[in-house]
Amino acid sequence: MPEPTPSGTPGAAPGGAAATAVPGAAPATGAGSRSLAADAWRRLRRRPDVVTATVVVVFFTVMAAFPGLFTDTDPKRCIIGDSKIHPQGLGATHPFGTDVHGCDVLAQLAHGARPSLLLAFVVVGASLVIGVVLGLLAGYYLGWVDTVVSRTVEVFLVIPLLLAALLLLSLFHNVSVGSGTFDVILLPALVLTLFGWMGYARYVRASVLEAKNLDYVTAARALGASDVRIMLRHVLPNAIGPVTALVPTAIAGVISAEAVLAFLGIGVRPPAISWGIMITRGSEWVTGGYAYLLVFPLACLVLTVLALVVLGDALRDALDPRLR
Amino acid sequence: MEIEIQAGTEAGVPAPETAQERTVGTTLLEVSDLAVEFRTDDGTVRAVDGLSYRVEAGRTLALVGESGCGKSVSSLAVMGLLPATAHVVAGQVRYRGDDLLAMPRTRHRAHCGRHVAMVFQDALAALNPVHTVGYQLTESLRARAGMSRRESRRRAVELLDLVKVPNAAQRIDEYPHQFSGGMRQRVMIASALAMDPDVLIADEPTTALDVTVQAQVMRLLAEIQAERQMGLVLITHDLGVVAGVADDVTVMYAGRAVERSAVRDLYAAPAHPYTRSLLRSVPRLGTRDDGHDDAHDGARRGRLPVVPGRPPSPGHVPSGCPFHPRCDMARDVCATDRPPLAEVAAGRSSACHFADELLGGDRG
Amino acid sequence: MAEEGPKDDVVLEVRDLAKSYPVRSGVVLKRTVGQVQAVDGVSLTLRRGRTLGLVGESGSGKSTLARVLVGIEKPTRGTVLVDGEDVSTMSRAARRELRRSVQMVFQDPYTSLNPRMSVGDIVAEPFRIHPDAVPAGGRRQAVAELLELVGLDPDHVNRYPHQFSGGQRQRIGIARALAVKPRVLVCDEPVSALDVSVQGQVINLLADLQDELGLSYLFIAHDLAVVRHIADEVAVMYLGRVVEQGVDRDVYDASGHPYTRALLSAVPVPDPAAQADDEVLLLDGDPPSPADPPSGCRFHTRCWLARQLASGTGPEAADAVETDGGPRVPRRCATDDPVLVPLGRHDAHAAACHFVGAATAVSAARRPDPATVPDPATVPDPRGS
Repeated sequence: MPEPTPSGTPGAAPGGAAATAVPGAAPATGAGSRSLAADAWRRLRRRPDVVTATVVVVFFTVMAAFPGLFTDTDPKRCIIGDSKIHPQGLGATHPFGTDVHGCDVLAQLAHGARPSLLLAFVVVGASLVIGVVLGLLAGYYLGWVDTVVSRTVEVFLVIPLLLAALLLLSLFHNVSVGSGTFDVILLPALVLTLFGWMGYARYVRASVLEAKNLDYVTAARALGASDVRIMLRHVLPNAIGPVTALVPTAIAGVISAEAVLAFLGIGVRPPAISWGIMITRGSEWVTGGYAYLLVFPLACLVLTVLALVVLGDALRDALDPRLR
Repeated sequence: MEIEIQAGTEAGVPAPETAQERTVGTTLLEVSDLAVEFRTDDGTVRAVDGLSYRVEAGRTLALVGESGCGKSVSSLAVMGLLPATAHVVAGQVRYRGDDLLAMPRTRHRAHCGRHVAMVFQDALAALNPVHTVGYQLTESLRARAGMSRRESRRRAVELLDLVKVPNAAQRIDEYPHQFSGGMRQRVMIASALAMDPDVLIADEPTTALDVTVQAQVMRLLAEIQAERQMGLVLITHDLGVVAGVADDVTVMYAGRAVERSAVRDLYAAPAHPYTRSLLRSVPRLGTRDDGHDDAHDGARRGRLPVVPGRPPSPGHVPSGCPFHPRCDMARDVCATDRPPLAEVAAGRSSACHFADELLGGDRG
Repeated sequence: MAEEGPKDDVVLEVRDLAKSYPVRSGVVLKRTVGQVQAVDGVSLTLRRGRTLGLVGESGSGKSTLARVLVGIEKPTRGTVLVDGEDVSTMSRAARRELRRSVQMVFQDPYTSLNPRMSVGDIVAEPFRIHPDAVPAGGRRQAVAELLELVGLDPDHVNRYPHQFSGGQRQRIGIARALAVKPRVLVCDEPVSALDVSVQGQVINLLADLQDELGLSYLFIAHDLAVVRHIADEVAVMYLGRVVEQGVDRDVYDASGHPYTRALLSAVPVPDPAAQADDEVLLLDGDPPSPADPPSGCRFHTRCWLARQLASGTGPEAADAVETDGGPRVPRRCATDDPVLVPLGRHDAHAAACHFVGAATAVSAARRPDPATVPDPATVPDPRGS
């Protein structure tokens, strides 16, 4: 990308085009981060796909927080006589129809948003923290740290998720957990986090191996910078890029994996409902003429993930000074 | 060596076109008024603007310039290898009279693979690390010339011998990382020579190499070129390398040719101020005009003559003569009128309003 | 050269320095199967305000030496003395302080600056690492002064590296290195990635800074012409050893080592006539691997002089031996490791070759006569005439 080209002569006045890159920036060192954030916001606003994605994410967030805004029906109130009613359109009793048990689909979707999204963010967030920390340490120090981390990653990769889930299930069999917002997702969050961090660790380790040999890291070392400073200031910011691309799809993965766990009894604890469970149940009825049972929850999931993909992309671009 | 290669060509390569005679002076490749534009966020940017040159059999043309002058982009355009964001907006590239740019892209590329070959600066990036060197050399022979496995292997060993890779028969089964930088560049040259091309375009072939290895590779290129009467286009920023191998030189600045001369003329008396500045700013081994004596009294040596500023990026080419902001001869007219590339002496062209003065001043 | 000035004139001294890397193999349990001798017994002296040029091919160990000198790597043997003090025997804190006095300028201006940090942050980073290095005027003012010192606009602190050209980025790198007021700058190929017309600007800047701040440079480069221009003394490295050193005039015009001669002859002179006349002493192939250096003189596998002597009529020819797959060379070259022997007019000039005399004779015969080399710099300026 051709950049504004201030003249190479000493003390030259900034070129006209260059002035737009730092609009009215005061010659103060601290202004760098502020103008970066402001600039990031300005770039985000200019992209219609980003605006759409933001609307989608806000919509589902509101749904997760206040499901009552979207439906008056109790998702647990299922009348077997009303089962498998096709969608009746907005304004009717069952706008999105009912499922095999006669439960209202819209109500389930609205009330399923909270456990699904909460679980996804908790699991991905926790895995990310574990993976990034371990990957960073392993890639930076190598030696025995790397041996321990890499072997641990491999061990966790070869243990089948379901086997481990069954094991944990038996461990927690008699532990009573409550029915609060976090309690219902505790078990699946634990299992999925335990088996979700390895990918991040590997990605971060690989990026760190690449980034730590760059000259600017050597330069910081020659200045006598501490390891922590080098890792946090120089290596990590330039190594985290590939990992952030994993996050949106990982969220989709968590939501669907939870449905599998639900069958084993360690998913979102009933009577709470989740999108994952709806997708699994709905898929059984697709061929029978009840495709809507799959389409509605799947659409919610796909929309959320796509919106997050767009947002993640935009965020990464906006925070990268090279693209300003 | 040469006889073997010829035999190999006759036996194995059913390429009637390559059998065409290459007598010194035959025009093989002619580029006229080539213009290439890039699409960027800030609009279109002209990277090459009205470039013309001619490659003749048995002669070496050097395209000289600094980063962003369009020398590499122009050769990618010739090869049909421009990235998706770039396209040729004007001009022709004629290979033995056929306009390559008028052909469909696939035919253009196929034509180039056979008759016009290219060697890149970064040999490590140009070789696939997961295949042996032999596989990569024989791949094109099998695909393009329809050779059998054994035949293509024999030919590949010949090619490695030709570029003086020692123990070619053994090394053919090694992987690119087992070769040193100089050897990798030889492999790239061998691969470019596989189809016995008429024209070889070498884009900074020795920039990544040590001086000692650079001397070897340049000598090899010169030998092969003389032996086969190929046309060689050497793209480089290094005026030292140019002096050793080129017959003709085209100096590029900001996407345009600013001077075109025979090599001896150019070094004896540059006809464009940019060429002169380039020659002046090369530090020299033999001479030191610093009055720095044997006693080492700490006297500071003379400063290097420098060109102020830096080469313009393609999106921000100055008005008038693109070199005028950095030119020590610039006058008012330079900022407004763009000088055309015009003949200033027998066989020499310069795009400078005051080329006569520059040359005349030298004579006087 | 030691007698020339007072002892305290030496800012950086390296004695018998060696750095080797283990070659490991194995997947789970790694074991050491060999050693790569990247630097093997190098001694150098750098004086205040002077420039020592270090030349050699890739793999000669010059970059490893640089990394040891700025403290990124620990030497396996030998000592580094900064201002006469041995770095290895110091406490951690003292070493950290001392490390400030030797800073580095990198080759690639595109990878040596963190793309996510603004120029102000990059140049201010040394102050964050060494808070006591912040001058009285405060960090912000110090950064502005540094930028001005290297010829950049101090108002550009909020810009990011990608908004600058290669030459400007190299200036930023120099400003960062100068922040902690070092006495020595190790410049690792500082201009080889720059455009020809910009190289001169950076070299002139380095020369000005040296005059202004009394800096000493260890100037590493493969471009012998650039080194000739900037260096007072030159050391030539081959496979981890210094094979020749001395003041620049001696090394360039009266080379005592056949390798130096070959390096010089490989430099392409920007003059077609001179190139046509000049016979290039081509070196065959690449330098051998430092993991398995040749016996005797390390250069004997590629040495043109050894080959000449072995095929000549002198006593060396009678005693020549076949080397392993290589050419015939005099026996001494294949068996005895030559040491640096002083030669020539200055005792500072030394070369590690068994046949220094023969090498010097060839060099003298080849010395270019400056009068015959046309220099475009002397082309008269039409405005002046």
